[in-house]
Amino acid sequence: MILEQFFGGLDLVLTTNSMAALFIGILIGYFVGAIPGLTSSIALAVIIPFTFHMEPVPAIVLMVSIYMASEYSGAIPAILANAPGTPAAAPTAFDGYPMRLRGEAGKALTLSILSSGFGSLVGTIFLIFTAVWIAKIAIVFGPAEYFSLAVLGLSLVGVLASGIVLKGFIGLLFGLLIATIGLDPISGNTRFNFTSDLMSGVPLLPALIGLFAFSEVFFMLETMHKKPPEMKEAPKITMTFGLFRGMGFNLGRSSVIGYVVGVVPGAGATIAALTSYAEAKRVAKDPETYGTGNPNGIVASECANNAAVAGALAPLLTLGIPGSASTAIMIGGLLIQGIQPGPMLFVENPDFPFAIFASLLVGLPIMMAVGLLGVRLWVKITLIPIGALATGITAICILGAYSNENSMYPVWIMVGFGISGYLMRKAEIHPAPIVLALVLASMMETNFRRVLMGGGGDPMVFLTSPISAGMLIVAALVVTSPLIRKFTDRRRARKTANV
Amino acid sequence: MTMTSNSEGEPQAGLPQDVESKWETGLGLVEVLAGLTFAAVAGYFLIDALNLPSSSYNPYDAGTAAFPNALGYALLFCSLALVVIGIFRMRTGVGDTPVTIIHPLNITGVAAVTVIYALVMPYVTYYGATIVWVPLMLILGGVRGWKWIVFLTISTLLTAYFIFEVLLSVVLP
Repeated sequence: MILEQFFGGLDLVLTTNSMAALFIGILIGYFVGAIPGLTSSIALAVIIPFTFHMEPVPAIVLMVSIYMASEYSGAIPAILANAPGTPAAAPTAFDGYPMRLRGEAGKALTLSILSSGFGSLVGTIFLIFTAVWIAKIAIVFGPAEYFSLAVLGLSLVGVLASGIVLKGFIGLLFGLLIATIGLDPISGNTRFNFTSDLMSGVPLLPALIGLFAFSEVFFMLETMHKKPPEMKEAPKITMTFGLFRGMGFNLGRSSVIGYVVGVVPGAGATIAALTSYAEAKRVAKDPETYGTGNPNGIVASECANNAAVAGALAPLLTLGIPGSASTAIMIGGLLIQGIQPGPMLFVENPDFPFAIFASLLVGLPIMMAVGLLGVRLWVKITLIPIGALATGITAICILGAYSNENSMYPVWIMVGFGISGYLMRKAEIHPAPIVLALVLASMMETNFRRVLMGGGGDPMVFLTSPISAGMLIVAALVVTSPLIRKFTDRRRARKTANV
Repeated sequence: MTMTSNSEGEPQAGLPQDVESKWETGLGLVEVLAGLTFAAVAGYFLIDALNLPSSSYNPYDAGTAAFPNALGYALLFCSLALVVIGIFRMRTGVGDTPVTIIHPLNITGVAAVTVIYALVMPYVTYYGATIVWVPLMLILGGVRGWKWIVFLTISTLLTAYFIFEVLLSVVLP
């Protein structure tokens, strides 16, 4: 059954349009990942306006390939210049850069690209099987479960996305409050529509572009006088038998860690890479060599951050809950195409999720080939002046927001969210919880009120379903866990001080 | 809040020719300002929610105002907690790490130029506004050399025309 559906998806991917989208997406992803500071979220926010006029499958293939390729190429500047292209490639630099200093840049790059490919492959296989399984469970979800799921997803993102939980929750609440502007989803009454344009609410896409892409322009300007990373040497790719000798267990373990962490909403590829690196170091016979150019460090980091990409797609496709900022933006792209992610997607249009799975597998050899053969080009990309890049991104942000409704109103939304996003990040309030809240607010409110109406106004009705009750309990534990940890840490510190 | 100087001790204006100017303050003050801003947002929504209809066709429905009210109070509480944390940081210095904006005038300039660009665009057409906006952005972004600026301006205009007007059929202002 799965195989049959997979071939159905493969048919959709092996068309001229989808393959062109796949190839373009890989090139854009590599371009973005190779430039320190630019991330897949920025690229996706900028690219979504271009998908308006595309068919659904090539559009999602384009988005997925950008997401994946940017994680591949983030390792290139990390290894060659100690400047990770993406935050998730930071642990790669711990050992990649010392290897480059030892004259082993080619070996480090080959290890990183092949490990990325392995992590992707394992992650995709896990995704195919777990997604189908999760979708089967989620098919029985009713309004109570969906409300609890939204609460759980938002709690995880609020806790994991920011350093301080309070700031994560401020972002969440701000996003949820902004999402109440427009029509009440149950009664149809208007709420907070300061202008007639706001009748249908704050448009998601310009808000995404502003929060992730335009706000980044200001951060880029802060680095405009920094010298580009020095990567003068042309690394030579070294493919030798035995490159991965003794690393088999590390490859497998890191991929599994990456996938599992990727599934958790809010965790993402960076936490996956850091967790995997720490675990590889913990179980190693020679932990003291980590950070000094141990190839196992690169393998652990790269396997995990690429497997996490597939992991983040699992809650997106099966539950409609984004696992990362990038997948939150992808939800915006899917909704524009008229596709509602969730378990029903696997029932009503199974070819679509399987087309995504197929594109991940079809794209794998292309990504590895582009990475291995194009290293010299990706190195040169980092030399583009920041001012030119910032101007180009702003121009696309404005055009992209304008083309959303062919009016200036979304441009104002984009500019407003961009400037406020920059200021919020200065206050360490991350945009990811805001975006997730904007995406999930309607699902949360609608289902909350439906359940209450159906249950005669009794809030205990949320606890009558075991799945819903379980998710709410986990959400409560997630929210209270930082406080409990702080309390126990203080107690332990006090005990130690007494001793 | 301080404006720093460069290594020669000359005041920095943040213009592209300057080596590096920065605006610096403590995290505590930033948190107080952020907390007050979010509290004001929450307050605005709460006050506006007073005008929302409370009754619904279903007696068990929480109503149009219920969700915004709950969120508004929660945001107000969290914002005020952030203000308290910020004041604590400012008083004790614990965790009051520096928050820096490098090249503040360039950043303010880019924000201002972009806002004016969006304001002017409907009156002078997209191409009319862009031909001025791109060079300004490039100069504020530290790009030097008029050949580069001319090349990038023309490239931006041609790319916008080809991709948006020709390929995507978007009618630009």
